[in-house]
Amino acid sequence: MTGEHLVSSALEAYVAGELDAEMSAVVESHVAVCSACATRLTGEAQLEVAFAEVADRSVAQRERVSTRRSSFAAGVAIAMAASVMLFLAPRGHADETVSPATAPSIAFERPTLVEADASTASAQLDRSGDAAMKLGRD
Amino acid sequence: MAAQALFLAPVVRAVTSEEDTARALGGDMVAWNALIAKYNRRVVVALLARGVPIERAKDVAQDSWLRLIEQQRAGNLRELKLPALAVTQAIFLSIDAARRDSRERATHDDEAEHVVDPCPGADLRMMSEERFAIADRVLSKCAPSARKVFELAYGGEGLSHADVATRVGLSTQRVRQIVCEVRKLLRVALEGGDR
Repeated sequence: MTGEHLVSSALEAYVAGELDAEMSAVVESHVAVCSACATRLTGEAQLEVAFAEVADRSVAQRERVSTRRSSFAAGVAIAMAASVMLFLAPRGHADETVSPATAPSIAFERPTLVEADASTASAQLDRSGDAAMKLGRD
Repeated sequence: MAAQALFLAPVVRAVTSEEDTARALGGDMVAWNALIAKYNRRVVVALLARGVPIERAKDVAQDSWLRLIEQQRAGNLRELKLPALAVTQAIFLSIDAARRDSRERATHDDEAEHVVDPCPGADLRMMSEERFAIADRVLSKCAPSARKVFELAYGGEGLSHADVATRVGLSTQRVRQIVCEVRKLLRVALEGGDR
C-alpha cells in the first residue's frame, strides 16, 4: 500500500474476500476518508458482481446445451427404436384386408413420437431461458 | 444494534449450505450465523457496486439479514435462496433509504428538486449483452476445468476456494491460482483490452 492511496491489488483482494480482518479494516478506514479510493472500490465491486453474473450465465448456457444434447439423443434413440420395430413388424399379405387404424400406425408413429419429443425439448429450453433470466437478475 | 450479536467467530463445522439453509428456515440461529458469515461479503459488495459508501453498505447488509430473520420468525419465509435473497433485500433497503434521504433533503431545500437516486432500478445488472459476449469469448478459451472452477467459485451460491477444491479434486492453492488467472483474463477483456 502506498502512503496516499490503496494499491489496486488491496482493493481487489478486499472485494474478493481474500483479506484478513485487520487488512480489511485498513481498507475500510481508508476508503471512508478517501473519495478517490472509494470510487476505485466501487469499480472493483462492480467487476466482482460482473464476474458472478458471467459465472451464472456460463452455468445456464452449459445446462441449456446439456438439455439440448440429451433431448437430441433421446429423439435419435426413439427414432432408431421405431425403425427397428418397423423392420421387425410382421407383414400382412398383399390381399389381406387391414383396418386403417392398424396398418399405417407404425408409419405415423415415428414422426409423432419425434415431434412430441421436440416440443418437450423446446419447453425445457424455454424453462432454462427463464431460469437464466432469473439468475441474471439476481 | 443487536445485529452485531449475529456475527459469531468462525467455527469449523462439517455441514453444507443446504443443511444450514434448512436449519435456518427452522429458526436455528447457529445456522443463520453460518449463512451470514458465508454470504455477508457478497451482500456488501453488491451494495458497494451500486455506489453505497462502505460504512452504510455494512449497516444495510446487517439490516437485511435482520429483516430476513424477522420474516422467518414470522413464518413468512418459505425458502431461502442465498445470497440472492439477501442481496435483493439489501438493495431494496438501500433504495428505500436513499429515497427517504432525498425526501428529507427536499423538504429542507426548495432547490433540491432534481435529487439523483444513487441506487436506480433494483434489477440493474452490471453486464450488458455486449459485455456478456466478450466474457463468453474469454471463458471459451479457458480449459473446461478452469471454467468449471470459476463457475463454482462465482456462480450460484459461490463456494469458497476450499469447497471448490473438494468438489473438483484439486488443492485449494491450485483453485486459488485458477480463479485468479480467469479473473485476470476477464478483467482485461471487460475493462477494454479485448474489444
